[in-house]
Amino acid sequence: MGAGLVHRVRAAAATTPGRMRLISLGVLACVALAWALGFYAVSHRQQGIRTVGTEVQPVVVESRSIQSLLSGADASAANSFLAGGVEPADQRARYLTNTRQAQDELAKAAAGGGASAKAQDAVRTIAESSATYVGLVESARANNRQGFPVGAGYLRRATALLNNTILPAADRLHEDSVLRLDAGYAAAGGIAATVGVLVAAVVLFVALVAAQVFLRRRTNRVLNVGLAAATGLSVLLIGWTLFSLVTEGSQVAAARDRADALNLLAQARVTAFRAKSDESFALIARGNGAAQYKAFDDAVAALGSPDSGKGLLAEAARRAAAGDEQASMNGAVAAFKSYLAAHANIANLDSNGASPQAITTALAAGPGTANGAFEAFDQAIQRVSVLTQQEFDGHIRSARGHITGLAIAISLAFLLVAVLVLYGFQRRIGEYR
Amino acid sequence: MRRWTAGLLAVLAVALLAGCSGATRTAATAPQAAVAQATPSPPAPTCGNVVASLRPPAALPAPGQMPAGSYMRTIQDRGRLVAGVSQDTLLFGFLDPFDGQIKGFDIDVLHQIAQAIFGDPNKIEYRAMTGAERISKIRDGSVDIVGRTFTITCDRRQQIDFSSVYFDAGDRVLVRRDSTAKGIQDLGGKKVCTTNGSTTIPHLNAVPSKPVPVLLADFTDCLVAFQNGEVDAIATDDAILAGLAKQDPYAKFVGDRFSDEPYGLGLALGHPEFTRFVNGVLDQMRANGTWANLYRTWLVPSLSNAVPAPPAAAYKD
Repeated sequence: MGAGLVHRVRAAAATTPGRMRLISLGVLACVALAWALGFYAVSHRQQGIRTVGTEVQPVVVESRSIQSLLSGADASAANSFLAGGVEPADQRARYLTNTRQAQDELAKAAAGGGASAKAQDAVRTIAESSATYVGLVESARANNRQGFPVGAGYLRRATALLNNTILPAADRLHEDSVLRLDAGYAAAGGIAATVGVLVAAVVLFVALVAAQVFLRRRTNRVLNVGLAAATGLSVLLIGWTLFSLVTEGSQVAAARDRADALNLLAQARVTAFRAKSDESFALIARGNGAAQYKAFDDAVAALGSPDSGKGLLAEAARRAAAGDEQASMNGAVAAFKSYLAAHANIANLDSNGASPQAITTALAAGPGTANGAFEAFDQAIQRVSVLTQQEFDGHIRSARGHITGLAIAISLAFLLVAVLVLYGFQRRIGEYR
Repeated sequence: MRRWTAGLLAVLAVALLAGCSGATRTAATAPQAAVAQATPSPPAPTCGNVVASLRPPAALPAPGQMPAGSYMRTIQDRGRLVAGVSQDTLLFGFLDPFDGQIKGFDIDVLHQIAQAIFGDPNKIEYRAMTGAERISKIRDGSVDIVGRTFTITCDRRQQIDFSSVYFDAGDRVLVRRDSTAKGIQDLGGKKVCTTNGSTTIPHLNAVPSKPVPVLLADFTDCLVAFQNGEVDAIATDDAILAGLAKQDPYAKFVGDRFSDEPYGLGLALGHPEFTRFVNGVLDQMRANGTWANLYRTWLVPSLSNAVPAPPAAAYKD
């Protein structure tokens, strides 16, 4: 059979029309290769964008949201606890809203992020432990309302559960989704597919030109309309595909930059909430809060500031887009600075034997207070996050727009190229009959 | 040669693993052993009468007129007495959530000391601390005095000074209401919670039925563990247990005291005049009925239905 095929090819190559048929088959194979690589590149990227935009990035955001919502809830619970038996209504309301929203985010993460066993395990840990967490906080409240010191024990345990179990589990969920995200980005913006298309394009172009040179020598006709049209169309087609891939790639890169900025903002929020909790726990410790103040200082150092050029806030400010986003970021930085000033006053009162005054100061709400400044900081950071998320969504939409329908379009166009190639050869082969 | 090296490595790895897991098991299942090693016991110090404290002067200086050069004068000049306390030991030292004040029997004793120094019982700065922190905070000068259910022991006397005994407590055990245990002797193999660094640990280890000690930072942590069913009982001074039982109607005392825990105020070595002064204040409290009033206020009927006589002071010169 193999020997038969070789024999038939040899026989065909002996005559000019036979040779033409063989060459036309070769050119068609090049067309098919270019189409296959182009189709693969485009659909691979579509899949990548889907992974990034609608499957994984939401889980990345959700895992960070769970962390900041629960850290915020904990900061509120700790601050409320300072107040004694009857907690301030606004702190209690914030605690309830945060825990409820965290449950919603968790439900979304469970629905969307359950791909790997690691992610599923993390989601399960968060779900179980946050139910326990809420129970511990309610036990703390119930005991505190009766004036029982064991309430403080329940609150300590709740915070330990959050810091030692829930936040690390959310970190694991985050890490896992980031790994999947990296794969998605590699698919959505990777250079390999583009290079493949380029190589196939060069091969196809060379094949088409070589075919025309061959035909011209054999037939002494200057122009083969079919092949010339096929060459022109191929050049346009390849150019269009490459342009789409490159612009789509740059949109994906822009989206990734926004996603990184979002992650920084979320980390900054979580860290700030941790600091706020530490402040409350330092005060709850009544004059023995050195360890908590140290934890507070560590968190603040991790946040840093644009002035020092170091830390999460500096990095987030660098990444904020000009305009409203930069303005909100500046607002967040300024608010955090005034929170730190208010905190210094509280810590100073506390370390100079005026714990009760320090607590009153830490509990006060409204403009100019620690709680007021922190609230302003949090809202500004949330505003920046919303804007950054919108930019991310915009880039993903735009990236998707560049390649939507491209796979079908290039399939049809390459089919046309193939038809033109066949038509061009057929005319010449026909002349030998 | 290569095979020989690989074999050696494998043996080493197994040995390492065995060593590690062995260490972990010891730490996890036998916290009492770890604690026993932590406190060097071999050169057992001898204290004679461990509760004997420095004899007070015949007359105390008037409030606000502490003698120059005395440690009381340092405190007076500072404007406040810095006191290490508990804020979660109901009845002895606890934070009252309703008004944010720290209150209790120990706290009122400290108020008496502040009254004697300043003529104002409220010139106190509280430093809440865990039981395990008491000695180090006295030694590093963070606090002038510790009033925090502090048992006088010979070991502790090597590091700090104590006032005369102002309260007699003793180890007992708290179990759930449906428990059939009649005392610590019936809790063999059961998990019994107490705090890090407390004098109850050696007493628990000495119980022949071998209860399993579980060590947490604070007694309120023990109560949380008790209410969550993670431990079967809480063992410590009856004075502290009374405050825990008050927070949980499903807890009950069983059995008699299995140790004596004489409470003293913790003071630094190095200014004996302050110890003498504090003992003078405690003597006044015993004599003028203040001590009995405090007992009635805080501990009747949670700990006892009647006010006992105050513990007698023992002195050395």
